[in-house]
Amino acid sequence: MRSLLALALGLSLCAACGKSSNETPDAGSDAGPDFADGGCYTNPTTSYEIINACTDAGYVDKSPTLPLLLPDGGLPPLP
Amino acid sequence: MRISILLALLLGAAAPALAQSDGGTPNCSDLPNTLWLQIGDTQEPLIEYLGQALLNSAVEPMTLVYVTSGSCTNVDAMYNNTPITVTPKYIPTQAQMPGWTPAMPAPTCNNTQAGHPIDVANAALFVSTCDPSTPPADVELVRGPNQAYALVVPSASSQTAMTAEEAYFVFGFGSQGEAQPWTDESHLFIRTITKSTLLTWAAAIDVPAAKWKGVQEDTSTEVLNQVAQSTSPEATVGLLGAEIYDANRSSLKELAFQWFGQHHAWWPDSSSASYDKKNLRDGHYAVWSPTVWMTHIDPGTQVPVDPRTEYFINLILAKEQTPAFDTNTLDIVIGRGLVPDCAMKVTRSVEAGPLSLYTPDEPCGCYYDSKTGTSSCATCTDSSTCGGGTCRFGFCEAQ
Repeated sequence: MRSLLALALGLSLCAACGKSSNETPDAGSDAGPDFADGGCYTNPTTSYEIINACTDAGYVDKSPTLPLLLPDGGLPPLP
Repeated sequence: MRISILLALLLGAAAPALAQSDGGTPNCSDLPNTLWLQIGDTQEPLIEYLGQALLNSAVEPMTLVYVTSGSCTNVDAMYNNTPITVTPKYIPTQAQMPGWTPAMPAPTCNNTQAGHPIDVANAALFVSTCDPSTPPADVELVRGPNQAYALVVPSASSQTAMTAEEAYFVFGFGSQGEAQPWTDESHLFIRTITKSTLLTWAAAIDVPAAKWKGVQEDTSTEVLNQVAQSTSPEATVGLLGAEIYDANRSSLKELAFQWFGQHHAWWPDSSSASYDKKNLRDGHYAVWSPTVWMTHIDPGTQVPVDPRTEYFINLILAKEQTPAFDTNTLDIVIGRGLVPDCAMKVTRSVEAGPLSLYTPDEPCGCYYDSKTGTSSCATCTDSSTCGGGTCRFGFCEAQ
């Protein structure tokens, strides 16, 4: 349930949160409007915005192939 | 007859020596001013360093005697007044164990058959995860420093990250999960279901602890060794407290983790090479819990039954107290990879719960930065130069 909600939020609000390339600091975040500069949040307030806030920290991008994901991207029940 | 009397005399003479020493192992009851702890094994490094400072203290000397066990076992023992009956470890003096440092395993002492009551217990996660009931009236819970939990792989693995969805299939489905390359359950090294490491991860990826696939290890050391020595590095992954990983980075690699709803995977630190816990502190790394410290109080007055337990817990919180301690224990907490509350920018109230912005009453983020990397804050000797902020630990904090 949490994953579906997060997915929906992500698709509707944020196409590419975060600003850094892999372990490469970016130019930093300014005090611009929320959801500026590529999709991260410069003034986060909600939990979703906090975990996708702008930062100069390094990160990894990963899009794993998960054959058991449901067609809508949700998670199936555990066995 | 004469021989038996002689034997009895000899045994009688030997008895006191045997009571004091069993091949060099002291009796716990002979150690001075002991404080008995039952802690999660992720907290052992903290206790060893703090124990040495207490042993050497001129103002509040104590000998820490401790056992490690699962956080939920510790909660249950504290709530039900279960004594420590197994053989505990203790922090030795240089006279007792010349050359000992906190980086070495602590020695053991001889317990009594009846055991000893717990003075302070620790859970390295939200206590409500173990027992959602209201704590007993005679037990006080104190929220301590925060701890990240890590996914680790062998140094030889080419893997760099795992998403929450991947983790759901890896640990919830095991061999049937088809989440490459982690499809061999004999190479998934997890913990038993009373351990904070498993329970915190379980909450984070929505896989109940009882449903996890993999090899259940009793101790962090076992996970560490199994992962580091794996002959199938690509298929291997394990769970560790971040401070255990931090102390063993040369033999392991930490995966970045992408929580549900995140668009990138992050380490607890700002990079794989740093130790600043920046992403734990600001919410980018989601898998963390507070450590919780428990002691017995008088239900009427709410005052700890043993005032030394309050002093000890306040050392972990790095609170100012009287008499002032002779070591800056904030450095010990930070040095063990824990994040004190005063350095946090986010908080949560339940396991893997939503995050909210947080400003500590007495922030120490600038000092924390200075100890784990570099601080951009102004240095100070008093608050007069802090432009309305507060000088704390030599740095101008915002308040």
